[in-house]
Amino acid sequence: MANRKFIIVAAAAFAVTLTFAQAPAGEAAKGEGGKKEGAFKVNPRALPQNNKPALVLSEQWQQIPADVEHPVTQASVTNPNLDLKLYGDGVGGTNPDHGVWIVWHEQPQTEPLHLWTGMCKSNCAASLRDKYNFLDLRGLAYMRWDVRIAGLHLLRPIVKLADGTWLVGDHTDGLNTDWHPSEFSFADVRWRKLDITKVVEAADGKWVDNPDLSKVDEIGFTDLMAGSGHGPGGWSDVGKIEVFGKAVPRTANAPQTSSK
Amino acid sequence: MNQRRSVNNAVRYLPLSLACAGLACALFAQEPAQERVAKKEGTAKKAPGKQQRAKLLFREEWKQFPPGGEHPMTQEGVASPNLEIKLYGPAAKDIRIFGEATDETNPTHLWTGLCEATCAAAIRDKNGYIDLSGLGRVRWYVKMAGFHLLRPIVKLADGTWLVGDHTDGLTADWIESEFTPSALRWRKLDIKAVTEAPDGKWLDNPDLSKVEEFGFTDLMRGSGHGPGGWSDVGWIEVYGKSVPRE
Repeated sequence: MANRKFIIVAAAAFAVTLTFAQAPAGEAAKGEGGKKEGAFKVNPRALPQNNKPALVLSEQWQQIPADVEHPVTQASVTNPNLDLKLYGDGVGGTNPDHGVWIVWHEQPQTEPLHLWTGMCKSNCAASLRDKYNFLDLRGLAYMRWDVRIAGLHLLRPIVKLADGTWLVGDHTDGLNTDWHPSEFSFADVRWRKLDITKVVEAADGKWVDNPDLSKVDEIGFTDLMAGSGHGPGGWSDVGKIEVFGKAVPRTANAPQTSSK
Repeated sequence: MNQRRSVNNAVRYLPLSLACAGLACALFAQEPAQERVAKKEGTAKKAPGKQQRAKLLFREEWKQFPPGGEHPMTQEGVASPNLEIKLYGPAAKDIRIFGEATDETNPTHLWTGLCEATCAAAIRDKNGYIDLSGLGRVRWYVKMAGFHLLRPIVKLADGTWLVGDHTDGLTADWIESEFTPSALRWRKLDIKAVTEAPDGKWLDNPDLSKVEEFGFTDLMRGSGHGPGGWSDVGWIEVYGKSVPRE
């Protein structure tokens, strides 16, 4: 009986000693020779985050004229270096109301200034083009947008490459009750060609694996659907858009980072 | 020495062992006791898992008609004499019938690729409402292209249209897909525009015991010829009960 108790106590003491000995092992190396090369292994997760791409495009929109809503135009873009492009039924109008609109509700403000696809009578898309730079969206480049989606609509990114090819991505943002920022890496997106005139998938029906995103001419969004009009039926709200990557000057004398 | 320790242990753990045994007996005794009472009182019920699956109410395989090949869908394309076809949306007329019954890679089917705007198709049983409640279910043979997502739609006896959150997406080949309508989440559908209705609400547990029409939409316009983006819908099987119309 006494022998058994002794064995249990000894085993417990050994286990405790072993546990506490783990951390000081590294510290001990410090004490022995100061900065001993190879004493610590580099933790890849602890790498500084300076390899993250820089903000190269940002747009928060502005309401001119200052009413609640109207078809979006170039006047809605705050950044002088960005061109707004509208496709499909995106170029809006009134009487009858259609197209992509810009919306701003007065105080108490529950939502940011944003573009709204609810009035699109058929598929529509909007994109931004930096006048001076292509966007290099390879590597760790990513996009962040503030969005709210209604109904069964699914918001997707679209890009126009330097050779004129349009692509629509398989990243989607779906139904949410409130505004949320959403972020995704371009490297994680799978693309299909986009028929930008109709704003539908292109007829070839193929995935475009690893497209060359080193020179993106325009970047934007579509939900590939018609809007349901006023009320929370089905549409996409898109507020602030931010793109993180590299700016590639269109010409030799273009500013390196123009549109942030 | 060892013998005495064993006896001591047995004495020490006897109450605990008895308590465990008692608890186990009590737990196992519960169900038979309740069943006995239920039987005695005539209130015995089948366990929930024993609910019977619905039987096949109808199967529509579509029927090719002159000129054959690919052409606008009409009532002539419906094989079952008890079913009516209804086409909806701004591009209703663009829904096509295509394929041949004998072609396994291109069976007779409806195709939304030429819909210049949203479109939808539904079938109505002339014999009565369809009861899709409970374990009523639908199986369809579909092929999808691009980012299109095929969804079921129903028209209830009170005229309300609903679109479900079940989706079938991109497939390389024809596939059978099955779902239980009562398990879906539904939203109201604006059948004229074939978009979500403006109220923006989920309809939890709608009454599917009297469905006037059952059909499908992808809520999107088609991309035209070629494998861009559209829905192919081959045969449809509906499992449920027929409910006479008043």
